[in-house]
This record gives sequence, structure tokens and C-alpha cells, in this order.
Amino acid sequence: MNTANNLIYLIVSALLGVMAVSGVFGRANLSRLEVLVEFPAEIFAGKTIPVKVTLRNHRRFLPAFLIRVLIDDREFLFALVDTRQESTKYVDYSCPVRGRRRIPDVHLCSVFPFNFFIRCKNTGHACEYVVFPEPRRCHLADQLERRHEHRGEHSSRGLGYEGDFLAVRDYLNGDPLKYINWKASARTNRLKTKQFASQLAQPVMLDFARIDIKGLEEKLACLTYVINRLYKNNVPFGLRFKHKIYGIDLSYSHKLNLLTELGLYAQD
Amino acid sequence: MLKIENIINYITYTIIAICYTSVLPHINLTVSLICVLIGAISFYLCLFKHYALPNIILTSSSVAIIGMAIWRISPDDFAMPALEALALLVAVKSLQQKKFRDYLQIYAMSIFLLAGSSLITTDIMFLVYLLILLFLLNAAIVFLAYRSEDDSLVLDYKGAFSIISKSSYIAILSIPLTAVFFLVLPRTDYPFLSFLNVGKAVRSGFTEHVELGRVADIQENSEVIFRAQMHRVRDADLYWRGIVLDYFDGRSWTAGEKSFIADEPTPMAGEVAQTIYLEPYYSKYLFALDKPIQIQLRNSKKTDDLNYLAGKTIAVRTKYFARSVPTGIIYAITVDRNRYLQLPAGVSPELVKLVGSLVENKGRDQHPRVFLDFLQGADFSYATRSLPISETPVEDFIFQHRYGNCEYFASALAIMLRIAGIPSRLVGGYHGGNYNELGGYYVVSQYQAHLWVEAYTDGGGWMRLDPTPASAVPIQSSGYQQVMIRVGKAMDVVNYYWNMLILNYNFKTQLTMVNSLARTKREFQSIFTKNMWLSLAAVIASGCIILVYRVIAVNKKMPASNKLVEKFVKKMRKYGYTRNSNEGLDEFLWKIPDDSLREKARQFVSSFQRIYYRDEEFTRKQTKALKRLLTEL
Repeated sequence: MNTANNLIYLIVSALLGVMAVSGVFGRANLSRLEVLVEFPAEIFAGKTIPVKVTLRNHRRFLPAFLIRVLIDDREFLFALVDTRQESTKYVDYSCPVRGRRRIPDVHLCSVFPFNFFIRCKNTGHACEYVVFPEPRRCHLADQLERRHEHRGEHSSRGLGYEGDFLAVRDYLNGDPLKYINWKASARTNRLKTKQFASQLAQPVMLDFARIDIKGLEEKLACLTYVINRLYKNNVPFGLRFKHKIYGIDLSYSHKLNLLTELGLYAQD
Repeated sequence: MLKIENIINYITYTIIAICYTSVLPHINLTVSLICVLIGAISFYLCLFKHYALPNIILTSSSVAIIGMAIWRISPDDFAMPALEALALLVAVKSLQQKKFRDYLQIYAMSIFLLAGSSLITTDIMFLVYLLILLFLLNAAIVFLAYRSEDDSLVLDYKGAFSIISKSSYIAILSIPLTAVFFLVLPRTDYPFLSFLNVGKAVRSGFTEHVELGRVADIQENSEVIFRAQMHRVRDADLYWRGIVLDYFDGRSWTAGEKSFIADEPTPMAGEVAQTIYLEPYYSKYLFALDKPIQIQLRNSKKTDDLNYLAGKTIAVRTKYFARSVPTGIIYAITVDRNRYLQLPAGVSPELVKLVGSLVENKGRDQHPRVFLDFLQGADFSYATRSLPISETPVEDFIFQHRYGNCEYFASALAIMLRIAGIPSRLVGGYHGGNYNELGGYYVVSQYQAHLWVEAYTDGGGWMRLDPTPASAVPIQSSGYQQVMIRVGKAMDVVNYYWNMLILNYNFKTQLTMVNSLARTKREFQSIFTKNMWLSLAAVIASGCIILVYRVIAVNKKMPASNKLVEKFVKKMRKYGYTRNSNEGLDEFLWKIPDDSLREKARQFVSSFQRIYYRDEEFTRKQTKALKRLLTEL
């Protein structure tokens, strides 16, 4: 008979049992997780930007405990993400040089449950983004500003509030009170709103080759600044490269296309 | 909000408290109090003052504690000083500024404490402590992992609860694994910690050396001495034979030289088979129902006066089989008259005179009856307290005090028989027992320790005589309420299985289990009848159905709002109105030309939308109300 032995066996069995189950839990803790890394649309070299990292737990029963997300040299700790939930973290991120950047792998690591081992898993989540050149004020911007003042604005085909009177239409919720055409409203017994054309500045066509700035990076920085400026001031713009022309436009995607072109210039 | 540090500390102190509860009641009272005091101070300092004592003080006191323990350890007392030192070390350690490593050290020491408690007691509470510890340690180490990642982490109650509850799955799932490991871990017959536990004396109702009046309080000791699994027998037959005492020196009885005989059992009519689970009581005598025919325990020996001795002192719970014939008569053809007629020097003439007067004009075969009648007369009463202790206890008992316990009655009878020339001896053991119907066994407690007399009659052999007043010996415990007895019995069944299944599990049982597993098929066929197979299949099938249903149900888990709309659309389809996928509910209503139906449908839709478009969760009450509207459609 070895009765005291059996109680010690019981303790040892319990410890072994816990260790075995903890191993399974440690593995399960890294399964069915998704990491989403979202960069802002505009990333300028040298500027700090917020990056959004989301950890999504697709599991039904087990929350995600103590997950460390490793991106590049950055780490994000998610203490607890409940089942079928997600958690988001923002981190300030800055890239010193322009060009295409790639985050090859996103790693998930955890010491859960007992901090005896670190388990890691490569989610294989590759992520690409383009860093635009750093915008820098230059004499070209000043020249354009002066020209803008000199040449004035003209009405565009788009609808707005500052240009020529175009038409009268039915009132829609949200129309400013001052644009209601009271006369027409009284006549028709229904609320009517006045419509105007939008006011646009004279378009600007930039020619990459003819811009007189020494140094490629300086030139790109200047152009980035100018494009930002023009877009902000509602001035339609285009850009001509040696073999490629971006026509006059004033859309956000147009701006992004141009900035991407500048960001990747002479790199690919 | 909860600081991770505080959560860990609370759990750690609970762990210490649990381990102390398992050990402190058994160790030195002063040490226990010191441990509790230091623990309480440490708890206060740590959680309310955030103060830790300097390491130099703690290290030197730890060294002092270990030194003291080594100094106190003696060859026959190893366990206590070691356990006490460990308990103190845990308390001192808790005063320290704690890092990950320190917490783990405290947990390890706590586990050692619990393991150490198995040296003192093998009570089933051990299992309770172990289970609690399993859950607490699990939670504590998970939180420690959190702390190691971010020590300034602050959790809300919901998050902390979620971590505790979800990580406790580890502990829950490890329980079946624990059982498996317990069964399969290789066993050894050598007790690991027995070196710590040498020659520990316990107070037992049963003694090999009966000194009159010295062990008066045995009747108050309710600890279990053994459990005997057997069928129920008559209460009058419940004499558990232990030791025969034949030498009386005037004050105390001892057993003379025993001669061993071969155990050659012959099958007898009316045999009672018993499986006895004897608690450690640090003696060699084995108990069995009087009169024992055979006891099966390795290295046990049988003596000529029907005693059985184990090969070594019973220091651990021991299981053995016994066969007995419940009778008060032991056949014997010859008797060693010198041995059984021995009288102490200086038996008083009054006693000799009394014996002479009692047996005057009586036949020799009537003598025992006469003495019994004398001792069971109205003059004598049973008592367990303030027993007469003197140089001549038997004479004082008979002539002066006339009260005493079984020791006095049995001694008086044996001496009177011997004076009258009838060989007699004392038998020590237990009388009575509480039968547990649930488990099918007798529980015999220390307070049922008893002494009776055996007298030799020519031709008749040894005859059991019990002079102690019958009402004095509690055969069945009484005085408790019936319910309490039942609860107590149920609890004892748990204890009994704990002993049988856990404590007595050994290499032999393990081997038997492996063999039986090898014969699984045959075993199963013999165990399971056809009906049992069917019911097993039914259980498995229903389990599968529930599982599948759950999986489907969880997969189909959709918001209450969608379910309601789906039900509504289904119901309307029955009336012949199909809602297009891009159709709003209001729009859909216009398609219903039947006014009363449309009105009812509108009621449902408007109540539904009132909740839905407020972006509110559908409460149980609201869902119920909407469902009622649907049934009215």
C-alpha cells in the first residue's frame, strides 16, 4: 500500500493534465485570427501618420488572449478580444523616404496561457503601400499663387453656390434657406431652390521637365506641395511627364494618381 | 477597474490561505498562528500599503527558519519540522517584492505544502483543496502572463471575469486528463515521502497494553479505525477481535509471548467474508469479526490465541480480506493453564474470599455465570470519567468505587475467573459498528474500542463473556437526529470510495486494469447486456443529435429582428403574398388587399419598426410580444 504516494500522484497528474491542456489552448489561441492593417490614403515621407491595426477573432468559444501583433519592427498588444469581435489599435508611423513599401509578414505571438513558451504564427498577410514625396514649399508654388490672383476664376459646368445662376429646382431637405427662390415658390405653391454653377480657378498644366529646380528629390517635393495646394484651392491641374500626360482634372483620385506617380518616380 | 497586480495578489493570497487550511490544523499551534499572522500582515502591506520588506531581512529570516528546522529534525520526527518550516517560508516569501519568478516560487511551495499534508492526513478534503488550487493556480498564472506582457495593465470587471472564466476551461478540461494520468502513471510500491514519516504515534482507542483507567477518553474519540465491507450481521455478533491479553501485573494487562501457527483455513458454515480498510494506527494487530478463520494480507501471521499480526506496523491505510464465523465460542482441546491462570502477586484476601463466597455451592460450569451476574448487578455502573486509578485498581473497583469502563469490568471478571481456577484472558478490539447501507459496509470508530473476556471451559473451549453493561457500549451511534446520521453516512460513502479508488490504487490494480483492457471485448460483452448496448447507443445517438442541432443552431444564429421578419414573411406567404427581396415592409403591406389581414400585419410591422429603427436590441419581452402579434395573424 502506498497511500501517500497516490496523493502525490494526484498532484503530479493534475499538473501534467494542466500542462497538456494549456498546450492545446496556447495553439488554439492563435487560430482563426485575422489581422487587418490599414494605412491612410496619403502617406508623405517624413510625416507621422496613424496606422490602424485591427485584430479580428473569428472563433466561437475562445476569446483571443494576449495577442502580440508584430508588423515590421512594431508590436501591438491586444489583451483580450472577445469571441466574434474585433479590437483596433492606432500607432503613429513615419516613413523617411518615398517609394513603394511592403510589409512582408504579419506575425502573431502569444505567451498565453502560462508565459512558459512564446508561440508565434505567421499570418502571411503581405501589405503594400506607396509613400509620397515629402511636400516642401518652393518658388513654383508662389508663382502659381500669384498667377491665380491675376487670372481670376471662371464658372465651371459643375454645380455649386458661387458661380452663375443656372436653374430652379424643387426644394430638397438640407438646402440652405438663403437659396430658396421665394418668388418661384409663391408662384408654384411648392418650395423651390436656386441652382448655381461652381466657381473654378483657371486650370494649371504642370510640365515636369520644364520645372526649374535642381535635384530630383527637391523637384518631387516641390511638385507634391504644389499639387496639394492646387487641390486645396480648387484649381484643376494636370501633369506632363516625358512619356505620359495626366490631363486636367480636379478629383481626389486624380490627385492620388499624381502623388503615387511622384512617389514612385524613377524607382520601378 | 482592476489593476492586474491586485488581481494576482488576491489570487495568490487565496492560494496561500487554501494551502494553510490544509496543513495548519495539523502542525504546531504556535507555528500556525505565526504563519497566519505573517500572512495577514503581508496581505495588508501588499494590497493596501504597497510595501514590501527589504530582501536582506527576508533572506536572513528564511535562512534562520531552515536552520531551525534542521536543528529540530530528529530521526523519528522529520515531517513536522519540515512542514512547519515550509509553511513559515511561504509566509516570509509573501512579504517580498514579487516578480514573476517569486510568484511561481510561492505557488510551488504551496503545492509542496499540500503534498506535505498527505503525510499527516489522507482525508478526502485533500481532493477538494487540490481542485480549488488547480483553478486558482491556473487563473493566477494566466494573469501573471498578462502582467509579464504589460505590468501596468488595467482590466475592467467584465474583462477580468472573461479571462478567469474562459481560462478556467483549462482547469476543467485537465480534470479528465488528471484521471487518465493518475491511472497510467507508472507506480512504485516504495512510498516516496515515507522517509519523512517515521514512528509517529497516534492516539488510538485500541492499545496493546491496557493500564486500567489510563485511556479514559477513548470513548470520545470518533475517528474511524476501520471500515469493513460485508453484509449486515446481528448487532450482538459485532465483536471485532484484535489482541489477546493474558498477563496481568495488578495494574495493567499485556500480551505474553505469542506463538505463531500456520493459517490453514477450512471452509465453515455461516462464514462472513469481509474486506477491511484499516486506518493507520501504528500497531501490528489486524481486526476481523470474532471469530476469524483467515486473514489475507501479505506477511501477516496468525497466533495460537487467534490473533493476526501484519508483517509491519500499520502506518498507511491497509486493505485486507478476512473470513470469520460470528460466534462467541472458540474450540480448543488443551490450554496452557499456567499462562491463563496467572495472578498478580498480592491479590487481596478479600477478593479471594468474595470469589469463594460467590461460587459456594455452585457447580463449576456455573461459575462464569455467577461472576457475570455479580458484575452486571445493580451495584455496578458504567462510567468513562474520573475512573479510579490506584495500585490495586481491580479491588478498588469491586469493593469501593463500583464504577468503571470496560477495562475494569473485564479485568475484574478475568481475575475472578482465574481465582476460581478457570483459565481466562482479555480480548481487545472493537464492539459495534455503524452499518452504511449505501456503501454496504460497517464503519467502526475509536470510541467503539472494547475489552471482553474469554473463559476456558473443559470440553467447550473458549467462551466469550462480556461483563460490561450492555447499554454502556454504543453499538450504533445514537443521539443524533436521523437526518444527520443519513448525511453523515452519505459523506462516509464518499470517503469510503476515496479510500478504495484513490488511496488504495496501486501497481497491482494498475496491472489488473491493463489486463482487463486487453480483454475489453470480452469484458464488455459480459458487462453489457443487449439492453445496455441499446441504451448506450441511444445515449450516443441523442448526444450526436444534440451536437448537430447545436452546431446548426449556432451557425444559424441571427439577430432576433431577422428571425421575426423571416417568420412574418413565411406566414404571409401562406396567405399567398410573397415579399420581394428588395421590398420594404411598409411597401409590402400595400400589396395586401384584405383589410383585416393588412391591419393585423400593419400592427406587427409598426411595432417591429418602432424598435428596429431605434437601433435597439430586441428584449425578450418585446420579442415575445411581437411573436404574439404574429400568431394572431
